[in-house]
Amino acid sequence: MKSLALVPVLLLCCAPLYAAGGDKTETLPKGAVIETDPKYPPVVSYTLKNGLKLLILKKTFVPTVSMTMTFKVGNIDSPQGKTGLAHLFEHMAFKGSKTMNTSNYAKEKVILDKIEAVAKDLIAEEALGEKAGAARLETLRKQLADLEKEADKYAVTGELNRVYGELGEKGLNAGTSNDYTTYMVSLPSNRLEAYMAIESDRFKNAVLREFYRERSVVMEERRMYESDPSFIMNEALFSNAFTAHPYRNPTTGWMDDLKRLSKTDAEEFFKNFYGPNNATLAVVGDVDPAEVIRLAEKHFSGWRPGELRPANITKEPPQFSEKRVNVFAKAQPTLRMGFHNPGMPSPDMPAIIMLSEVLSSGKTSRFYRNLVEGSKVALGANTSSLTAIRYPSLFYVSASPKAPHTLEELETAIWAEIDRLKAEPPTARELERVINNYEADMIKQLEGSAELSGSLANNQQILGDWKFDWELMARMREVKPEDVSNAAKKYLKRSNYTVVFLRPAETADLAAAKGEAK
Amino acid sequence: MKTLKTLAAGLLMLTTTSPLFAVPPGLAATPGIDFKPPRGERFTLENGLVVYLMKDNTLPVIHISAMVKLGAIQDPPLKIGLGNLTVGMLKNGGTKSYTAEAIDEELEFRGASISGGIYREETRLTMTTLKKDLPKVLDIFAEELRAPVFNEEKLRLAKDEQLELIRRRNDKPTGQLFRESLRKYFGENHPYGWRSEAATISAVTREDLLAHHAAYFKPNNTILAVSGDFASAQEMLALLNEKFGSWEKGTVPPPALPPFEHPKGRQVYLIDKDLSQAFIIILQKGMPNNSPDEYPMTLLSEVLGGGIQSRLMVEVRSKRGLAYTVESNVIRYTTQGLTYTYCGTKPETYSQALTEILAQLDRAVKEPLSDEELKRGKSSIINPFVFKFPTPFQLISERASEEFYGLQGDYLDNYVSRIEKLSQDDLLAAAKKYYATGDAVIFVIGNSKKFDKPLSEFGPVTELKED
Repeated sequence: MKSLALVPVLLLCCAPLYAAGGDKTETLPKGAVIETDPKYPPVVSYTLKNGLKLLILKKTFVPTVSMTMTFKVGNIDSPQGKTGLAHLFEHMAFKGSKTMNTSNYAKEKVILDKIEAVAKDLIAEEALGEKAGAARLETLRKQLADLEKEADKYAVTGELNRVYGELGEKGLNAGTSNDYTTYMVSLPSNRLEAYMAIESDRFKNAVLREFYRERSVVMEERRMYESDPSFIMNEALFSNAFTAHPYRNPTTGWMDDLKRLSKTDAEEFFKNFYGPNNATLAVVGDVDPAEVIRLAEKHFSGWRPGELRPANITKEPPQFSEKRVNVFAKAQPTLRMGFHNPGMPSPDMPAIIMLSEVLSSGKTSRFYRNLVEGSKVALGANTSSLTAIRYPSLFYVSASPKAPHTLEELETAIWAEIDRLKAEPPTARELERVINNYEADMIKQLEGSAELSGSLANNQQILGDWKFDWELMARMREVKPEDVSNAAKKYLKRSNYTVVFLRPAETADLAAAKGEAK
Repeated sequence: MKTLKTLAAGLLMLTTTSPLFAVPPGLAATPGIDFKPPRGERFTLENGLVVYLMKDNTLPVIHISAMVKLGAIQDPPLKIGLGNLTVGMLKNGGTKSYTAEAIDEELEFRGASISGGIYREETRLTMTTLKKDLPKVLDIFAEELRAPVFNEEKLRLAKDEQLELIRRRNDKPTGQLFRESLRKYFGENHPYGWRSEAATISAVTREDLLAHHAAYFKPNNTILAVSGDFASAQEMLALLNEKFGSWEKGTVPPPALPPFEHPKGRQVYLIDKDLSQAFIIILQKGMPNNSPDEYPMTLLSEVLGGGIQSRLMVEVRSKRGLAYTVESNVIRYTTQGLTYTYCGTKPETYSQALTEILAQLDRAVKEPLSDEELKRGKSSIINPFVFKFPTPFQLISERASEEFYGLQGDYLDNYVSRIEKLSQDDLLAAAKKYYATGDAVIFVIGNSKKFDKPLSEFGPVTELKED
């Protein structure tokens, strides 16, 4: 069974998984609050003067601790013409500081500045396209390569990762989405202070060394994705479904934008968005909350707040026309559908989540029973109620036909299920099943510390409340069968619809000749 | 979310208290890690069913895994895919008392799950349930293991699904690369190398499933790993006896594997395909479970391609910007093993990446690790040991796996000390034995028209058509 919303769920504790008891509150510093309502886990909340929000949950079994630091900055915050900047910066955050990944920053900086000057000239020359001077391009590229070699004398490549490796890290990684960027790692719990020291230095004193090589790595990452038909399909869906809102752009960035990104761009981006006042740090594991607060004050309090420019994001205008897209690729047929949803704060959203679950969650769902088993038209068919959380996103459908059935038959069959749900509300038992699964998923989610720290940090920083999932559950309980049908009528309609078909490459010429793909 | 590893390693890595730790600049030394993994409790029912138990009352949840000694390598050669269909149909084909639809309804209404699969040498079926639903979910779980009926109509659906997946098996190049390269390395007719085909799936009948199930699903061929919210071992054992006590034991045919010799001499394979990246894998000799060479090769593989700080990542990715993923790893089975090195890079620079990877393998054979690299490599295996056991269920599953695979010499408990003991000489000897690039099998999927150098510069090329 897939997990319900795309929003990570957490929940419901019951027994004393958490060692934090009433006595602990006395030892907590002023300003720290421990959750005492037994409906929730006893999370300790604390905010530093510079705005960094801390969430701490003591959880014991093995002596480990999991940390997630989430910033409310994603690809949608990348400036016009600079898509992919948020993701490239995330890569750069592993390149060290004035003391990490370097043997002599003062000397290194002189060369880094020269690199930037040459790189800017090179970007400008490359932007001339066919008018660029071949000789000048070659000269600039050689200068850049020579300077990068010179900088190697001072760079200690991979040091941050190596130090974490020796400390015994598990899951050291980071992720960027359209909405946010998150940095995570788990360590043996007695290395908590090492984490605080490394992370605070990383975000206070970031040095974006090896920038242009890492830009090449990110281009390789994009090429890797381009070799996967699912990526091609999603890129086609979002760039067609959205006309103005930046959800139309891929998180990895358009290749042409990547070619023009400079270290100066990344530094500017860092200054604007990477402040403690734009971050939440969640710490879950075998630690004492008072000690976590003490160490966070010691290491993070000197981190100056960021400028946090207000987001300048175009609201997506209403869609009036159906959009149908054929993608030709060397792969078997598949389809993606997207319908604009109203966004998380909308009172319609809980019914839309229920709608998605009734359609496709598990083998008792309508899609499985009727499309996979009944008519056997689908190999599989899935839905998600949303694809992003800061702004209205898409109700998403992915499905593949099972031969000899065609994409057209599959599309028709999916619409028949949607229309049936508009006409006949789901049964009370169907809705009860959704709620039961949501509750069970929320309990199971508490088992893993790393996942839990991610949920706490993301819900707090992006949705404004670490208890968001409980609130959502309460809203879902209020949904009546007819609300689900009404949501289907209101949002799953042809004028709000984008569909992308992947058709085997060999059909492309044939389709062009006929003016239509079959 | 990105992940650096695209393929999991063979089995476990492990053990405990370590004096090795690093210190970030400006920080006092951190203490060692004082952790010994609990053993859990082990019982054997009268019919030979082995049960590992770990009580954990922190959440009202219970997990049970059944590990059955039945691997995909035990399929009949003309019916490759039989094991996979059999295991899938335990749940999807109904049982003596429950139709498939009833199972789905009972489980999904409760937010419970039973899922599983077959791997090369193991079948594993796992149930997760809230405590309040344990009797019902365990009843279904036990019936799936003991009394599946393999409904004919559901089998047709499952076979059609497999046929569709075969049609789609070349849609993603990384999956294609691993599958096809193993096929060449072990041979199309060796169970470690084979893949199912439309003909081998179509040949499977309901009678085959019944016979396969009857031959292998026996209590004395199964280990249960149980953790969660139960009152006592006695209470859980009584419940397990009620559900599994009357399961009759019997003899089980052992796997019969044809002999295998690791390939000699350089071999290069190409599937020419227009993709944004060229996908490259280098396969080399490895060792089976219970080989002492596991330890030096695990450490070497960590130093060579175990993460961002590894030699390959630094040279190919960070310093040259040639790849997003480059890694090396060791895979072990009961009777064989192999090492692999993997990279995705643009076709226009593929030869630079491949040349550098081969040079790094050669370097490991010629030159001992520095003291510092040895120390770092050990730390980055030993210090994360505790994460082998993040939850009670994962811990008890590791304990059950240790017995299931016949891992000897208190494998989990002595792992760290065996890593700690390794010297530069041990590693150099292992590198000479396993990393000789003269016998490497190189497999590439990519657009050869864009290659910066002909692939034949790396050895005699056999071009393959994808199918």
